[in-house]
Amino acid sequence: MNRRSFSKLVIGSAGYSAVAGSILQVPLPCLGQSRSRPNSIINGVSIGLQPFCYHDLAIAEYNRGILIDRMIQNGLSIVELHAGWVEPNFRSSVATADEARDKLRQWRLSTPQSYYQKIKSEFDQAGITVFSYYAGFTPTTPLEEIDAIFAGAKALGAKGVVGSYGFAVATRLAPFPGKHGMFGGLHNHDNLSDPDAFSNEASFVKGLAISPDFKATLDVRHFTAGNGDCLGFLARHHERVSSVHLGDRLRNNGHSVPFGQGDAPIVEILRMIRDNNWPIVALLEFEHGTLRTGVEEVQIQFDYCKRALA
Amino acid sequence: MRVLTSAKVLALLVLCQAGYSSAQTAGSMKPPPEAPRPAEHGVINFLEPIAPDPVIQHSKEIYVLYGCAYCHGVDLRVRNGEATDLLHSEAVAHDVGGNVISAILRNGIPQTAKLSPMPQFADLSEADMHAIARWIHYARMQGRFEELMKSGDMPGEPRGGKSIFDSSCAGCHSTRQAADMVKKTKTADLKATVLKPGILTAVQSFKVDEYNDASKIAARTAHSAFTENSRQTDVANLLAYLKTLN
Repeated sequence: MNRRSFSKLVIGSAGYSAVAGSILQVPLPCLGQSRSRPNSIINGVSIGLQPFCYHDLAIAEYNRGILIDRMIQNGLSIVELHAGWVEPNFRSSVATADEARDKLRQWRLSTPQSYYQKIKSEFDQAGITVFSYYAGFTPTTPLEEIDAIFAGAKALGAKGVVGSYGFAVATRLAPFPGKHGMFGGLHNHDNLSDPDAFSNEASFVKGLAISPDFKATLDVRHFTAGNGDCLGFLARHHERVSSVHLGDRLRNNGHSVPFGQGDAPIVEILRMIRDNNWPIVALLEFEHGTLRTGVEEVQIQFDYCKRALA
Repeated sequence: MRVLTSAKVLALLVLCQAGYSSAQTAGSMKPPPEAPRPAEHGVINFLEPIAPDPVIQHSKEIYVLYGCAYCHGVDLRVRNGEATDLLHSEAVAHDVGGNVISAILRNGIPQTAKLSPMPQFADLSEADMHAIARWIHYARMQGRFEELMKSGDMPGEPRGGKSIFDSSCAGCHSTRQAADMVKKTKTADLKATVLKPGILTAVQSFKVDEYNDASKIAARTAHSAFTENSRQTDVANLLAYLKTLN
């Protein structure tokens, strides 16, 4: 059975709800009626969520309650939490982007650890683990602000801090993960023309050499779109991989598509993690469009992963 | 009407490749000065409001279905900070019948200074590409209408307005017709009537003798392009000229 026929088991299948329901131990289609704690460790593989997948839910700290409810509905117990779910958005209250930036910096430097611990307890009570924290760094982010971001992430219970940055920023970040007992995640896109970007295997190897505390957050969508070999990368570098961002895209800078309809070897990646007992977390992160709700779409992609690990 | 040769399409693609910002072109529309922008709240419904014209609604759904809305915004207000601002894009201003937009969709923008390249959608059907282009133009027309109406009224130069009338309106409207329209329209409503005339809000008819009416299609296209691509000064000048006709 190839990837496309495997995915067709779900698309148009009337039975998927029943199957998913029996795995989740959540009554379906009444998503949301059960509040049992989620558990998304499927046959030894930890599956989590980058909440960006809920495209219809604005990333904002005041939507955090909705995020938690949705993750419970979907049965997902691990999250890579974007800073937007934690920090206030000053952009709407000041005149310019620079002013918002300054206010955010001041907030980061002055917010006590108790703020982050309280948020951690929200997730703990829901049975959700914050695996990693996704933050934005630029070449001019002051060192004390970088330190504050890592400290906040640690208080949230995160094992690492991830971001979309290149070599220049990674070099500045290098001292901080080890200082806080965490990893620094290097996340790739498919910008093969930017020498500063993490995009292909060679760039990852160069980036990982900057610090032993760096790990690859392999985004399999973008790696595939950049014509990379995901399985080969994992086979060669699994010890330096913290997590994979799971999604599907077409090769040659192709667009995002639902799981199984593109060129990313999602089934094979999950089986490789499982069969080798690697502690690599698989985080759903997809960008394909949908006319369904965010909860429905996440459920379909999560169910695809569960079938891959059955 | 702008006629775009394939060489010009290629040039526009090269500009897009270089991460060219539409705001830098002399005489181009600039986005309004950065204003406080409310964060998106709660749950976003990408499908609503449902457009009265189901052809437009379908176009929006295709735009959402292929993920365009997640970066460029369903209303063309950029969501992720990196995507091109289609509301003010010079490339879209030069698009005629989807020729530029389709070319960008087919090729993507693999070389870019941005974090993530614009993906290619070479596998999309022509119908889907045209639907995406149709939504972009509709949403751009709506968005620019709002911006131009919110920007308030400024004094205009009738001589400049006559040039605009001669180049953008006179092909279909005589000065007599324009004068009649001004006479029938309340002064307070004139700007809105010029920027969003009935042809832009009418639901497309599929009666056999109407659906392929070339003059109606041309009128819709021309009026939409005017609203999409006009600067505040253009509108002020045109209004000043129209008011001299009676």
